[in-house]
Amino acid sequence: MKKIINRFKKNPMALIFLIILVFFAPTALFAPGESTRCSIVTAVGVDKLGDEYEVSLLTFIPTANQTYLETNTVVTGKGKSVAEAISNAGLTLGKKICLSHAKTTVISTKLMEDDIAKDIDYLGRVASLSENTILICTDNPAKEFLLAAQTLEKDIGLKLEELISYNVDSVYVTDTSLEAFFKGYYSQTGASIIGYLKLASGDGEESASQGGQSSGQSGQSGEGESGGESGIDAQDNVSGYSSSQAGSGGSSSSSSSGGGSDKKVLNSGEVVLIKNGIKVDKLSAEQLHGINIINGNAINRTITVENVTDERYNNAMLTFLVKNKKVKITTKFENGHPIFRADVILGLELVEGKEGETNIRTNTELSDISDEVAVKVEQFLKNRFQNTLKVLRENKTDVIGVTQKFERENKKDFRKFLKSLDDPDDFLNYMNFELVIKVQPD
Amino acid sequence: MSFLKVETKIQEIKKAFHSSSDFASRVLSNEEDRLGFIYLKSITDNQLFAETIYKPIALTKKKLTIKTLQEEILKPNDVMEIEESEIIDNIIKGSIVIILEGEKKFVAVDLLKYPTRTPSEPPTSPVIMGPREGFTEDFKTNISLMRRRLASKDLVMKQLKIGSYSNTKVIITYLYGIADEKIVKKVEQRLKEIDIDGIIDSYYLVGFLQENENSMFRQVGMAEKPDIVASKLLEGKIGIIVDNSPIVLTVPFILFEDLQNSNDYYTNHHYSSFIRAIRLIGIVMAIISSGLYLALQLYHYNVLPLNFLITIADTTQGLPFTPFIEIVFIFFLFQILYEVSLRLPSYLGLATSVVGALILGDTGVKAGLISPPGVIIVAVSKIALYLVPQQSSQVTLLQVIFIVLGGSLGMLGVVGGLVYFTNYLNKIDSYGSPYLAPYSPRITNDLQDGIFKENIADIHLRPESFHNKNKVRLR
Amino acid sequence: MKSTTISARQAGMICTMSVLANKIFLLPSLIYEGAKSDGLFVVLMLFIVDLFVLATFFMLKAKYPNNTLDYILEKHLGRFFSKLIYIVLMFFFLFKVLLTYSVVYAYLKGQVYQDEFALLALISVIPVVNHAVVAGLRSFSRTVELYFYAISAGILVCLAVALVNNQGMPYFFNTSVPDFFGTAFKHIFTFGDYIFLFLIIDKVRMEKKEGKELLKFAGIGIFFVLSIFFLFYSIYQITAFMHNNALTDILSASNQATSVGRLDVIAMVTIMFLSYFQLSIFAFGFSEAFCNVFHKLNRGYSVAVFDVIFIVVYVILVGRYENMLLYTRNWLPYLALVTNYLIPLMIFFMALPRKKGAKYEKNY
Repeated sequence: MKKIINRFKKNPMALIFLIILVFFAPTALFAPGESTRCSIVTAVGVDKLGDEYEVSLLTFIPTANQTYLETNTVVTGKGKSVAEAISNAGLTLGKKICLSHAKTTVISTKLMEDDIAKDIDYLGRVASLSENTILICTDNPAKEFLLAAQTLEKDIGLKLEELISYNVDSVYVTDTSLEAFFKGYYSQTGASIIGYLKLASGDGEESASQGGQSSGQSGQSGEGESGGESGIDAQDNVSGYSSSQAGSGGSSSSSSSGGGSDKKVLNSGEVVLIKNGIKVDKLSAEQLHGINIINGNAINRTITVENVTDERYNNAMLTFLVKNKKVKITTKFENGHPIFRADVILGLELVEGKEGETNIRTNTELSDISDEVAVKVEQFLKNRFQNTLKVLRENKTDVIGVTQKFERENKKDFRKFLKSLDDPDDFLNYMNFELVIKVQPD
Repeated sequence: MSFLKVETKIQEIKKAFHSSSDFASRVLSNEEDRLGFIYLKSITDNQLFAETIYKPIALTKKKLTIKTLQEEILKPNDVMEIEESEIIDNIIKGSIVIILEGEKKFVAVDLLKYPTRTPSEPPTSPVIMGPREGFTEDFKTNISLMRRRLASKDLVMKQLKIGSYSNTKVIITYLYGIADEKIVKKVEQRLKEIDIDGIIDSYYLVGFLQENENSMFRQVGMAEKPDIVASKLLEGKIGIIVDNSPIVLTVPFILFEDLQNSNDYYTNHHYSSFIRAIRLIGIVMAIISSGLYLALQLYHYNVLPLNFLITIADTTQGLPFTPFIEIVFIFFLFQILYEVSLRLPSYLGLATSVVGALILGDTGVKAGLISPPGVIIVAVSKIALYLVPQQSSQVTLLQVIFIVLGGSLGMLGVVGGLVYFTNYLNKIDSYGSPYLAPYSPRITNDLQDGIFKENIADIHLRPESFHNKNKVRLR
Repeated sequence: MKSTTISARQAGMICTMSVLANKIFLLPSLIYEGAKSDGLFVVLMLFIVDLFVLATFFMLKAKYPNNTLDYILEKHLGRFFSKLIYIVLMFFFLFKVLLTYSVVYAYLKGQVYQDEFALLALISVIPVVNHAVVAGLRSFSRTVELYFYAISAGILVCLAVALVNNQGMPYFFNTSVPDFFGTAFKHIFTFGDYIFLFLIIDKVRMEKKEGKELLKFAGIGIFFVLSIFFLFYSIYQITAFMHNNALTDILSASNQATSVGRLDVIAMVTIMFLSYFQLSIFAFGFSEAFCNVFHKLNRGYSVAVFDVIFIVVYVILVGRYENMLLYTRNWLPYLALVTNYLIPLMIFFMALPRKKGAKYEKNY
């Protein structure tokens, strides 16, 4: 005994190590990996049924396998609050719910008839959910949407988060995360934008889900990759599991998975305008583009102008790609009247052209941009901006950061201006917007 | 002492050697003189004995006295006049002792012949392009190898004898004018104080030379090649050559020396910088990767990227073991395979690798006993270990410690372990050299030969991490 | 006897380590609550006070290059007051340790371990901190030196990612003066870390131009804290009050974080290193003060006493972060007033150059 004590006296750290070995290692020895104790949630959906919340979680189910294979299922839980519903969902799954890998939050537009901030407050605060989780909405219940997303992945291997992050990077360009929503919500204007995805009952034609080519103005272009039998069979066992667990969700076993496979996620690049947590309007892809004209990050869009007649072309339809963009926004007051001015310099590249029915026969690489083209492009963009502005004015929502800009640069004048209005919320209607567009070849 | 009879004397000595079977004696008598030869057959050169000693004596016509033997008959040999008390010592050392009837003194002729190896490339530190000679077990060969590389009068060799039974010759070697005399004295003092029965290998001395005795980190350098030792002596270190050992010890020692490899000095310095960085990363990976993997799997799965997490979750789903048991199991499996492959002859080594890699690894995974990520992580840590083979024993221990820390305390334990061990190593001073120099503390001059090595032509000064006298190495 | 001095460079790195960890997690959010984005100026103001402490240190060091603080205090104030100052400092460092530990524990519990892990945290932290104190300043400062660049790189990565994601300046000048100073007073205890330097004044080796080195590294620490505050406020702006862990949150708001995976593992490892170092520094401060109060007891005793007091106070008094927060706001500022202002001011007067003609005493 004395020998042992002496030994530890010589090296007290050995004693600490022994304590760790004796008291902590045994519990760890028999602790299963965290991935088996906790569920891996990749998307969260929030619905409201009466005064109860129903939270659906797109959850990854580990299946014994040697390679990478992602099997998902949707579980639901109900509760008086979102947090309670989530923990109830954990009951049906038999695992602790961990949101740290959730990259998408889906809410149904029905929820947005009332202030949604109180519905998703928990999601904004919970530490494990990362700040850049994207918030999107859909007309159908969120649960149905997640089931459709599950099918989407089974069918064409496209993950919801991939689709959405494409949208965020290239279509919305604006930050549409939970964080951005709250930032807008708590700001003076209370306005924010969140992404919108549709569910369409799929009959094969409309069902293409990549927003790939649909950027900018060209709308949706269906390819219909997922043909007739849109893969319900692939993981029968899993969907069976999902539905049996999610029985409380109101949809019986077969209908739950069937409902998912029937409907397709449809990406049309639309967004929803929110003011004070309430949905006020929906912006189409074209209207969204109107906002993004003055967004320096929104490039790689196409601009198509028609009836171009100049020294090169005769009545041609030309499509340009925006290769680079410089935007400078200035604010000023003229006679007590606020002016919001955006100078946009576009670098364009001609990517496609038609003269009547025939293709143009010039080298487009080196083509210069004539004044006629420049005017047409300017006209095109201005129209688009005005259209969008009209919508924003109607809804009294400032999502282009006008308030923010004025607050920074002309705080006093702007506040005076707001005070002078009967309805300060409606200030967009009393403001002048100047859009100066300069076009140059890339 | 009265008249000495040769046979009696021989019997007397034979008794002292407990009539060992290799004890040999001859008696030669001519007209007037009688003399006896005593030696140990096993360590003397019999042929040389016959030709250079026995024959000349047998054929000579001169009167045989110690003087004539020493000055005329046996002149070409290494002949010594010895006292009676020194007989046994000389026989053990491989000399032939000649007893002259009627003389009080004796003659010893050195005819030592050990079985020796020729200097060959040591298996642990091979070079791609560079000197391939390694030390042998014969210290005379070793000394000559050193002398050849440092042909200077300032190369000092101090001989000591340690071990009451083994009587091992130990040589302290250093460059006069470069090495710090204080350290030389300290080393000499420490070696002289050793009172042990035998020194079988140079590693026996390591425990006595270390300043921090109860440490799992070795604080004495070990080299198997004369070019390495020569370069270390040029830095002001002190070498300790031990008879019967092909490993030469050097002090002071810092940890970074093991990251330097002799190859680094024989190739382009840009490339050696790259390799050193790889070595450093590899050794850090070897130490913590298993523990880190466990910590992530048990406590912090939320910081793993989703795709990585899915792979781990899929592959570990349905395993019979918990992550901790799995990693420990794979770890011990590897360690056992390693030990086995060391001991087995090389033709069986192939068989073990087949059994180890194919059957245990692949089949274990296929059978769902262990997971591929677990195997990969442990295999990586086990292979990376041999980037710095000199440190493999320490690092293996650290691996075990970090597996326990990571498994039971998570990331906080791993980081805490790193801080603790760094602190611990920083406490060690090896003969005045900070153990983690030149990085902790930073010694600007020595960074030239650090991870990012500079051209030899640009390194003007000797390392400051070690105490040495003459700072300038290149003018 | 082995020399136990450290270089000015190492002292500078210790300065950096002593300001990080407890300021870059909860503090930005808490200060935002009180002073909005002008919290940045609150921090700047409090740091300027700290820099004054640093200047005092330089003056004192110039006047007494080789003397211990003990000697200096006793010479000017007498034995009793010198002991009193040490006792105050002992409490100061004890609560510093408690504060840092609670902040780090709150973060780790919420984000990293996701469960209660009180015992586990104690068993990981206490032995390492104790060993750092027992091993002594020299080896500890060397350890800091070894990890300094790795930690700086970790923080810089966080800053760089945040900078890419930055959306413009925070709104400044939005706070009323009472709010501003009120917030500053509430959080004053979190500052004033440089007082640690006085305790080791005799051990810092400072030759002619090495003072600059110390200042440079101390500056790096302040720069880190201020830039984290700035980026945090400019990224989150009005929602800053919702986010509790500045260093990880400035990372996770970025788009890069999604594409690479979870970048916050960098912040996580960095914060762990930082907290070990900061805790060790404060514990060392405690032990140094303790050894000066009780001359006869050696470092081992101070560590044992520290452990006992730390655990008892933590379990009984603190328990949760919220309690600690209450203390830091309510009565710890008064302690901080003494340690951050009064003591440095007294030392400042001691450090004033002697009158001409006064006899120079020989240093021992």
